[in-house]
Amino acid sequence: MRRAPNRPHPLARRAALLTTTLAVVALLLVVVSGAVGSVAVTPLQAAQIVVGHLVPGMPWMSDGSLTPLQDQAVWQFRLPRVLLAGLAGAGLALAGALMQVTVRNPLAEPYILGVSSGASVGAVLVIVLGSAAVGGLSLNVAAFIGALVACGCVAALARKDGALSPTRMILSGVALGSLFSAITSYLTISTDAQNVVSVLFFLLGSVSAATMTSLVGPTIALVVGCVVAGGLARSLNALLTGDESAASLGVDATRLRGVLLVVASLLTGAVVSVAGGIGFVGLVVPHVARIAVGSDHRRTLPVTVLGGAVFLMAADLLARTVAAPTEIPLGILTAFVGAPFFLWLMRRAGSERAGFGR
Amino acid sequence: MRVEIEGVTVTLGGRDVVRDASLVVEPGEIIGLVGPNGSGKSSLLRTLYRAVRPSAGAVRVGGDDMLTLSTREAARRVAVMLQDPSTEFDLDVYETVLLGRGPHHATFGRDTAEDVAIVEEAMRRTEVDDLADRMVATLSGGQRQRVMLARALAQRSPVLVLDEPSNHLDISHQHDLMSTVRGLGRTVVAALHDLNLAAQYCDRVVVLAAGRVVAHGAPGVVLTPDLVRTTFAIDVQVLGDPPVFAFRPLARAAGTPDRITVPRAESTHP
Repeated sequence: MRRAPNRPHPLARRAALLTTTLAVVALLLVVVSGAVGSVAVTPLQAAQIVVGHLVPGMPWMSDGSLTPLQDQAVWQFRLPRVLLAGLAGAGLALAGALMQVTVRNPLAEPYILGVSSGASVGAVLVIVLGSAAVGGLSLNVAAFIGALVACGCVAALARKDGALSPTRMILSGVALGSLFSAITSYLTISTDAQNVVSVLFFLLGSVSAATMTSLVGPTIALVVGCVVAGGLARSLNALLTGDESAASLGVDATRLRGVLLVVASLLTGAVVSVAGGIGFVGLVVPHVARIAVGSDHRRTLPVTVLGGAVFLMAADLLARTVAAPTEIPLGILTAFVGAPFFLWLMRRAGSERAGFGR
Repeated sequence: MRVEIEGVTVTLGGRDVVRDASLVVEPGEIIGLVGPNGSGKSSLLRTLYRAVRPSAGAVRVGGDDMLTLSTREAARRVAVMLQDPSTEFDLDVYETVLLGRGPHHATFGRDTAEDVAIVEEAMRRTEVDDLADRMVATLSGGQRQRVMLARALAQRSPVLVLDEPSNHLDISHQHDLMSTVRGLGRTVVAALHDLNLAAQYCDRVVVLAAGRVVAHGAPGVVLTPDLVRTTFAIDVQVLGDPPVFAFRPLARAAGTPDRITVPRAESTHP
């Protein structure tokens, strides 16, 4: 089909619309999540509490219309939780999208380089041996260090003749991942029964322990990730066409890969260290975004980041409401709801845009 | 823009695939690299767009050593029409041609009206404007090749490198491509398999065999039946001027090597 001259890409409008919609839905989910739970709070009250904490001098904060219990439930529990879900979803989805370009493989995801298994070793060491045994590190810090150690090992192993080969990256990630998982499994099986639940909790991923402080790491990582990825979007498109082709377009594939590896690992490590190994988001959300708006990163990345946030916020809302007062672990819910949706989308016409035709 | 290749050697896997090759291309000149498979044509071209680093010698474009330029500046000087893009995550034709504008943008740069005009002009010139919304993976080999030419044209570089630009094209598109390239007025270095295309459209041809430049000059002077026989192991009859080649395979005695008289690269090295 011939395109009318000087018209934007046919998917540009859709991308803009989708990005805006997702941003609005994300805000709504924050308010709705604030209103859902055992302490009764209306959506309006939830919004009032959030605004009241951010903007000083709001009348409703001191006129007695809100109980201290409501304030505590929203500001100390529900808000950090929904925000962590959003940050984790956005961070993992972005990391997944970057890893998929880095190794030019649709099966890539944030954990493919062994980052989550590295983080698990750190976390499980703290759970099983106690914080004192690992130099007084907290679980989060130990997990973050584990993630970075894993990524550093993979980068070192994949580097040869000054180039980071995608195949070597994937294979060293998978091999090291198995090694780390073996350590985690051994530690888990040889520890007291009461620790096993904590270990499983971490491995499946959860945002239920979120506090305002736990948001700091993922927020920093996400801001850095978005700025770097946004600035590199054109170069990422060039990298899609191959290393040699990228070189002819003025993009140094090896250097770009190095930058992407660092950014993706920082994102994944920051999220995993506070929320555990939440699966599925990082693999699938980038594909869904590509099906919706094509592979040009300038359109795909905003949709990926916001889509990941919305997906995980909605999943966490479901996780704590469908079987209330029992909670379903987040990782179980993301796969249970996400997998059928993704498969339906993949079978539909139009998924060729994301390269599913082959 | 002038291209100077000076004593370039390319070593891959411990083996010299190009040895001490020298070549000067004057601005606006069209040079055809010819030679049998494995003669080092593509490896030599790769040094022009920094996909490989010569192990000896230097490549200068517009007076500057390619290795001292930034990757982006290098891509502003030299555009490449490559054989086949990777389509693991597919872009559509318009997006692919737009990639050619990348070297002209700073980080966070947006597409300008000028970019759009250049992309559309490149697509019209290569007759792929009707394919704008098609995914590259769904195209035929020949269509894909024209898209890759459009991408290289959109780069608006003074030097154009073509690696086997015509191998999937039908005969009329082969000639369209070469006359388009001729009409650009840019410096062109092309690896060509088709000696007739090389003879018809190139100002000079450079013959490579076993990684060495064995002859260069005007096609009518260089591409003699003798040279073609020794380099390609095929008998040829030359008709007219500019030369047109009619080929007839040489009868080979059992056990004789493919390349009859060209010394193998390994044997000349102590």
